[in-house]
Amino acid sequence: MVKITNTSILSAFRKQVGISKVGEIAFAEAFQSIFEEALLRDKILKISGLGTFKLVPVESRKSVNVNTGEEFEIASHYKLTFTPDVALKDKVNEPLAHLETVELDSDVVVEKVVEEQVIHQNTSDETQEVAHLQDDPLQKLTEQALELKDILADIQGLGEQVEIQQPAEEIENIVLSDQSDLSDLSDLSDHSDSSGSSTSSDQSNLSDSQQKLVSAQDIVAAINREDTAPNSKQSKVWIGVAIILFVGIVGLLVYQNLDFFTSSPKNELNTPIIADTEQSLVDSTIQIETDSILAQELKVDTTEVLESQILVDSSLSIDKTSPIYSEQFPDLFNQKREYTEFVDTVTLNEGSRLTWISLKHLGHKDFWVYIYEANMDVISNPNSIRIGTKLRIPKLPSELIDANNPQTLEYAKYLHDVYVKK
Amino acid sequence: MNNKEFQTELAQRLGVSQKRSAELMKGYVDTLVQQLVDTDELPFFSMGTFEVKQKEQRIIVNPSSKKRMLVPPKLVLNFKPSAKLKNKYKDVK
Repeated sequence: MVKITNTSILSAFRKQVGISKVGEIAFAEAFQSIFEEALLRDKILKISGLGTFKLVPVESRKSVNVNTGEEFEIASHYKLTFTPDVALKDKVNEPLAHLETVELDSDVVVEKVVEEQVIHQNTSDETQEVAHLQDDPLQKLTEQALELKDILADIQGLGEQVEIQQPAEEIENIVLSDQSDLSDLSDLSDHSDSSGSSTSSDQSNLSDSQQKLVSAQDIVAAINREDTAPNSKQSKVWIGVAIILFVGIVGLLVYQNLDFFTSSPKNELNTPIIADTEQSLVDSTIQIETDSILAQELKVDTTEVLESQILVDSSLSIDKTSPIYSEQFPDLFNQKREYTEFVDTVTLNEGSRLTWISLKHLGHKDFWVYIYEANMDVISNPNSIRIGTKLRIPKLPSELIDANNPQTLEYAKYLHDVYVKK
Repeated sequence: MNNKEFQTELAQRLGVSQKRSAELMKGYVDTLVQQLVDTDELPFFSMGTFEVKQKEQRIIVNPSSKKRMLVPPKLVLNFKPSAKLKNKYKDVK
């Protein structure tokens, strides 16, 4: 890039207005002295086509010498500011003027993060790699902006403006495709949500969800076939990302349904939980695993289960949760959790987070699910709890909240998915 | 001082007509602006430099609706006064 000097500006100026070299120098000197004097006198100078120069007073303030640590005072003084004319401002910004403020849908971003977790849990190494590529849309935009900046710099160096529109259009396209991907995602998650709730709500939906499972498997097969085709162009990466997310969701769907099939004989035992408001105690998630050694230690009592079933029938209270059982995790987790002993009580105020409370009392933020389980009678939605709600911090077996055991964390994340998706 | 006063002053000092001084002013400013489009640093006599800078994109949150918006990057024009000029005005009381 050629550095422009006063001389080159003045020679261009000379050609434009037709002035002698002597006159040019006289003009330059007069211009400067008027400029400086005008500012001294009026503190403001407007030059049409350029903008407004202004002398702005700065108040005295204290500062510290960074080397000696001595305090000293910066005296009040004036500083020169410049505000360009609107016309000039627009002209300078012309290369980027077509960009508009985009509204970000925060819900979609959150959903995407959750789904990414699911992918990490359920899919193979290959898909994990691709999932890493698919980052936050914002980061993509930043990358695009940097690219654009580079391109602009090059173009400015050549003095050509025409091609500037091209990369800009690319960005818009990418933004558009990004949005459409996001909408795809939300469609998909709607789908999985609806099927997930149908499986947990009633056993009579079993055949229904079986059908869905079959169709989902078909789709998976179809996708796999598509997936094997070579993806050479960049545009196909987006399709790939969408497919991977879809596979992840379908995987989750299959996974949830698997739960149903494998545990269906035990479902009668596996059913309800009651929030007993009279005693303010929660008989929490009841999970029965026949081979569980630890389950025996905790004396899983089938009669109690039956009692609670009767209670459900008589009081017609609503099931607040479905039993959580997964073959993926060892027996330690697939046992009944009772919340009868509490170590502390926390009153929620503005800005409280279940995760923070969990981090403070249980040692890791992912264990918030247990606080939620223990307080299901007062929390209807873990994402929005009324301020002033009193939460009881349950006493939990130390092996369940061992933050150093990756399995406990994984199980907590699994519970998180279950509760958040519900 | 506004643009017109500047023109009058310039006409007096150069001994030219008002019309001519207005022409000269406009000619000079136009030259500056033309150059500005092609470069991102431009000297303004000995008084300082004009600089074109890119402001990065940023996320803003509408305080009432809590909606998150992505503000695109933009190019802005800055004037950086020279040290000489800065010091000159520092002492103004």
